[in-house]
Amino acid sequence: MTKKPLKKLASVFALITLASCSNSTETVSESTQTTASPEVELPVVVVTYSVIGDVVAQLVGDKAVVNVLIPDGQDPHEFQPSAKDIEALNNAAIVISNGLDFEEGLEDVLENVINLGNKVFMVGEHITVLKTKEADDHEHDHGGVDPHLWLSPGTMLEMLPALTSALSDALGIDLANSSVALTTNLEELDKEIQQTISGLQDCNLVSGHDEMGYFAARYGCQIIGAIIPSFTTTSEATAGELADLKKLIDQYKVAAIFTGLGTNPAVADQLAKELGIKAVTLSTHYLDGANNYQEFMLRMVTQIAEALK
Amino acid sequence: MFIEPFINNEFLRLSLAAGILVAVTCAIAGTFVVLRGLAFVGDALAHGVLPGIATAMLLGVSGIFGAAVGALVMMGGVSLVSRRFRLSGDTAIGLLFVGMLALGVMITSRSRTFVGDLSRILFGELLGVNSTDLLLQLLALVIVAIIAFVSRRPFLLLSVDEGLANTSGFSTRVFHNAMLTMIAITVVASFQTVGTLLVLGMLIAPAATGALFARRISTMMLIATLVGSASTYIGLLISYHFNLAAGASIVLTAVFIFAIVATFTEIKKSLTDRQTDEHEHQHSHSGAHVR
Repeated sequence: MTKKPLKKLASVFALITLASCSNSTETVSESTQTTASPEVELPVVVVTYSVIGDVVAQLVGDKAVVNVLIPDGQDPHEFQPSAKDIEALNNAAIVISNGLDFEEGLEDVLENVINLGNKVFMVGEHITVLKTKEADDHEHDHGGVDPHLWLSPGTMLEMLPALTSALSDALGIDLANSSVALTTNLEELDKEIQQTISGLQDCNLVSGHDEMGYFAARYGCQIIGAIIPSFTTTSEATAGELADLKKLIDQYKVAAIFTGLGTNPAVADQLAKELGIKAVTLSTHYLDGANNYQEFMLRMVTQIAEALK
Repeated sequence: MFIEPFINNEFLRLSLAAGILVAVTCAIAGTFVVLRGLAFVGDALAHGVLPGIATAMLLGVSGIFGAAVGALVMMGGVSLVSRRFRLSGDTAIGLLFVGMLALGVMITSRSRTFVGDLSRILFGELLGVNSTDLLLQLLALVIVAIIAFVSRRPFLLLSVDEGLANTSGFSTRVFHNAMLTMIAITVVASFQTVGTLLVLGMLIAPAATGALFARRISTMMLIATLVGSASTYIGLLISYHFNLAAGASIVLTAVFIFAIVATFTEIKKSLTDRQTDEHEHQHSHSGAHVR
């Protein structure tokens, strides 16, 4: 139940910066939580995790109910659904999932949903997928694709047209207006992040696992390494990789280690202590109290900018 | 190659120190685990502490308190079930083991504040230990050593011959519980370091290696300490050079050492057996010759 003071500060800051944001976002966060009102039967969209869930909610507004499957605080990489979750998936008008081996515990279930003939929109099928680990001169074979596509509004903008038409089809409603509004909104967010990051002398990132790929690619940051050099948190840190990371952090004079979900904070703390730098906990996988996607992104960017200043 | 990783990296030195402390603690407790056949209880404790740790983290208290409570519930439950319902110890342990594990999974799977997961409790994070963890582990070692030293005779009797222990004036129940407490402390203290599941490997493999040829309990403990410490060192080097998970590398090394030592003792035994066979054969042969 502990809330870090830094997070609070950052979200206050984010709130101020967001004061100018379109008012569509307010109705949205409510519809994320509320279930269908008894009078009007609204179609239900099930989204696997909260970050994408909010983007979908902003898009559909009050025309549909958006239910998020994986609760905040749970590791989406490892989440196991309950029977009720599966029921919700089977009954949804459309299911939105990341699709890039992100929700590893949901893979079989989602496959069944598709086999049942239900609509599943995989965000990963509508973006330019990052495939290899960037800026790492080591030849770790981690394979696979980077699922952390939501950490760049650019990627969200890329998939937005496809998402809009998939939702329109499934729900039978016209979402053109809200799609245009959201596009403008995300473009503004993109510019704002661009400004903040370009204000930094250099943006060298060390994260918990390999999660900052899309962000780094969009805003010209360099990925130095990760505590767990893997696209998923189901792996574990090893002594050799930690020692390599230590050398790289030293070499690139990285100012902070960003940890979060799925990384044991003890490992990052110990490494940071040894190097005399900061270890900062970052929310990268769920909204974690942020009211919407924009606020979530700005909070993260503020934290990164403060730590790397 | 064998030393510089530790010279260059403080985190590896801390891991090594923590691992060796675990190894010594486990050597003491593990010797009795192996001699008295308590491996299953150890396993049950390793899983039984899960709901305690999960609840403690939910409440925002240190996981170690939760682990201690979990271990107490586990031991109390086993003792209650086996005493009251005339079920075998195995059944009672199995029942509690599965129940506690399921409870742990349930608590962690539906909580919105539990950041982290079961595997991290079960397998620990040796590479992230800090000086506080080391102190805690040292404290556990001291307590375990004191329990073992004070109760060395009853423990020995319990391990060798429970019937004899019964007739020699000791309360077997008290000392059996003392032994369980010692194992519980070892498991609980390890959850920050090698994790509650891998500590089982450290409890059993080094002590089992010692049991292969040691005749005295003190020798067995000494061998277990050496095997455990060597496994920690070799395991960390393996984790460093081959990028493998540290805790698993250490435990696998310990099991591997057991396999090698067991093979050698078998070969040696069969050689000496053959020698005595030949000797006897010659003897009878010469005897026949005389006749």
